[in-house]
Amino acid sequence: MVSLADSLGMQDYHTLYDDGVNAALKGKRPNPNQLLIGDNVQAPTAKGKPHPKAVDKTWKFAVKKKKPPKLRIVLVDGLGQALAGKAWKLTAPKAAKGTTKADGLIEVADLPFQDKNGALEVTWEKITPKKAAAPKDPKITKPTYPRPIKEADFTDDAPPALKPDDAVVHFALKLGSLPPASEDAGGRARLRNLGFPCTRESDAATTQKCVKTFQLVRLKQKTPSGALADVRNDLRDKHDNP
Amino acid sequence: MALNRTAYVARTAHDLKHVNRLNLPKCGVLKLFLVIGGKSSKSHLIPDAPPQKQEAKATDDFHFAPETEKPKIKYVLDDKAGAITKATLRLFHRNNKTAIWEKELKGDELTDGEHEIEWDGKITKGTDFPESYITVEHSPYKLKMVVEADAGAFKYSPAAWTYIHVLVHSIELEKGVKEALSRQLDKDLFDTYSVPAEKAKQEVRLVSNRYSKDMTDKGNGTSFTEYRDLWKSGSEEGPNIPIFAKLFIKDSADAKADVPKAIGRVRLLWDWRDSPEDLSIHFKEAKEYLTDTLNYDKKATHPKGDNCHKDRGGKRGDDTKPVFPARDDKVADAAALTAGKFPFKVDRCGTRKTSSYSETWRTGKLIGKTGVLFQPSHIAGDAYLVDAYFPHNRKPDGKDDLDTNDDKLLDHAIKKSTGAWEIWREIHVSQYLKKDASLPNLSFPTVATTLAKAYMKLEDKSGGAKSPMAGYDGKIRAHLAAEAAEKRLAVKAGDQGTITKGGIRYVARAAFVAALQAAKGSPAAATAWLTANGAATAAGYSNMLEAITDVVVVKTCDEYVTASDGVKVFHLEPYWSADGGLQSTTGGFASVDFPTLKAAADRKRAAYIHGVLTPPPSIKEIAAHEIGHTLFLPHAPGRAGGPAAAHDQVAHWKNCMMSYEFDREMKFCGLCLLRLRGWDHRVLNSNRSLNKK
Repeated sequence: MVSLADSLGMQDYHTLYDDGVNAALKGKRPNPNQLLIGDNVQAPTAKGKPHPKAVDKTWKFAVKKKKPPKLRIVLVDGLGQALAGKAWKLTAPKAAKGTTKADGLIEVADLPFQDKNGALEVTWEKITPKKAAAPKDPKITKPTYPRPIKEADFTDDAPPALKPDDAVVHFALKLGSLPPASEDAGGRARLRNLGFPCTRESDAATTQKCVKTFQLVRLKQKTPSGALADVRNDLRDKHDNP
Repeated sequence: MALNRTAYVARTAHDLKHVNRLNLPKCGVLKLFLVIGGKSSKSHLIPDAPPQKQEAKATDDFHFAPETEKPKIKYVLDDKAGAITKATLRLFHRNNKTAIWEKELKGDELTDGEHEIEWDGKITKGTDFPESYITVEHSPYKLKMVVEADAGAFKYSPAAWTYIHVLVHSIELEKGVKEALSRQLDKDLFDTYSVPAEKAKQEVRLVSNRYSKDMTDKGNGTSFTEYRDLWKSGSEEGPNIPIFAKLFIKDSADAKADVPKAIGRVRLLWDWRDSPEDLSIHFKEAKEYLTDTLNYDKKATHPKGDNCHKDRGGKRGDDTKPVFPARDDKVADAAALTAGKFPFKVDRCGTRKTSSYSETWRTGKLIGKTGVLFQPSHIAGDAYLVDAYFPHNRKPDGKDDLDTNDDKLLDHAIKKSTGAWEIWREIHVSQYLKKDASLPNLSFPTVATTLAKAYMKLEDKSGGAKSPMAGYDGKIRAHLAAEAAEKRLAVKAGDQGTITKGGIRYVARAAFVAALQAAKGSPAAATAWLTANGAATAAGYSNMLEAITDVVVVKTCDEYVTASDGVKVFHLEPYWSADGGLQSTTGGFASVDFPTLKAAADRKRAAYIHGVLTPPPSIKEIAAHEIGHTLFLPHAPGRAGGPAAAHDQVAHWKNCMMSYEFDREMKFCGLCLLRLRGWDHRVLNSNRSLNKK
């Protein structure tokens, strides 16, 4: 709605969103920033406002500045707890950086109205790889049975060690692409943002698996249904609410 | 590598507050361990993984009894977002990159939180695991869980592992099976023994009916070689005694569990020790002779001890004569045994040369067992303690550190010992004929006490005394026909089977002379004959009768000799007698001229004629003396006129059983005792002090 209003030359999205022609839409989409493709947004009838002024004289007109939207992201852990101390860097659509505080919030003002892609890098965890101590032959001070394990005797593939950038995450931000929570795509998108392995377009089975996990872990439900319809409001609350 | 994620973000209008919450899904396995009965294994993670709290008393020594116990595999997954796509349990053993078992977790097994799976150690069947259970063979094992996750998730603890052991609790030794033997001697022996428990004793009685056939063999090495070769097979010497070992598993409570499927192919080291000989059973002089003679490199050999040394015909100190010979009949793991094939592979140790390793069967009829052919020396009086060891430290290649000459390095191993295996010879009295049923029976058990000092059992297999000797008169008169007509005049008329209980009855000398005069036609001619034949005096007459008897009675008795192995005893009391009270002074006669025995191709039978004298010597002494002759012993020096070198010094002990010294009870001298035991007397000195080393 914000970018639509901007593209129509409006200074404020309220001009568009609050106009009577969009009253039905407003009722259906209480969050003006979460529209769905196919939503019918109508431009209000142009109402030019006359400002009669004498000629051959200089007049000053004050035009209201446009009010651009913000980017508000809260970094959370798997249980929804805000994460403090996470270094972040936004490189698009504008540059910004910082470190989250206790509320986990990343807020960037004056977001360009029309840019649809952003790039956010978050250092989720600082990893300082620990060197695995070279396995030593256990010292036998007295005969024991069994003898101490000699790790070097086992030749199975060692698990990969963590590297410093393993916990650096590059978020490709799809700006203005979050459907309303009332829609299936909106539910899946929120699941995705909250870390569940689905996308806005995931199939029913994947969605059901993610919903079940959400119900088990986040809602502590013992008999999860897996039905997206059952968690729409929960997803909205746990994702959108400030 | 950095992670990439797509986020669907709503812009927030200048006058609104809503947010977009973003989470980076983190996942991993936080713990993996086994637990049973309050015992648990230790969980291991990569160094970068967060610290974990181990279960109380968690250990890397965790063990259980596969198949019979069902510990729980417990694991903890951190996966709040369900990002884990796959988790797999894999089991490894040392020096093997490939998992021997794998289980992919499914469905609810993959969710966030704690999980447990019951597992009894069952794995995928394979060449090394034909019974599909983890075994001692490849213990220890590493059970490892590896997780895979969604590409955008942070897998901060990708793996966890824990160690499991399958341990041996104990070994039990048992008698092997007869099918494992190929030699009839060993099969016959098999039924006569059992495996002695620790501190107990088992006599191994080697039946050895091998007897002297002439006078020469009493002086040369025949007595040694005949007995040795009887129990020799190729280059191996001694009886074959199959001893099997059954291995038991240590369960989680350290108790004994019988799980043959959990053994696999492991090795036991078989070792032997010398059980010290008890010399207190001997009289003073014999004890002194034996003490010196047994004291030959007692501490220099491995194992040390007083068993017969290799230089004297035994096995002590000779690693070329193994006590646990190598075997590889390639029949391991079969469903049934093959007659005559030894079931277990046995390899002699490279360093500890008197010991051997044997392998267990992984499957088949003898699953979980192994064994050896215990091959002690044939020397009677030698005694062995057999030890089986299972090493604490099995290396990945299956080898261990028990193959060492340092006995202390064996102390730690799991060990099971037998009691003492004491080698005895056994000979038989296979026939006992009495000329007359009224003659008192000889007591062979009493005679046996004299031979028992040489670890020789004299068993009476005769079935008891038999009498009379049917057709005796006809047989002896047929043999008398070969004697000179004049000599035949000395033989009393009548049925020789009944007119005397002795070998033959003669007339009195006066009657003989009268008959001879009548036969020769004049006293002068008779006198000439008597003089020419050494019978002119009473003593000469007696000698003539003895000589006749030595021929005709021996030949007559020979006709009664049966085919059974052993000593034939002909009880004729007295040896001969004549009218007027004259009789033989021969108490017994182990003749080497029994025609049947002399002509035999083998030495399995001997015979002697038992007369009787007014003691001394006693009946026991007479019998032991004559049986001693059949066992290659020559007379002792002194009145019996035997070779001094074949006996203890006269100055030390003159009353050997093989002597004629009746001034006190006769007993086998120390040298005779060792000779009867199977020692090579040719390398023993009459002077006992020279036998020490």
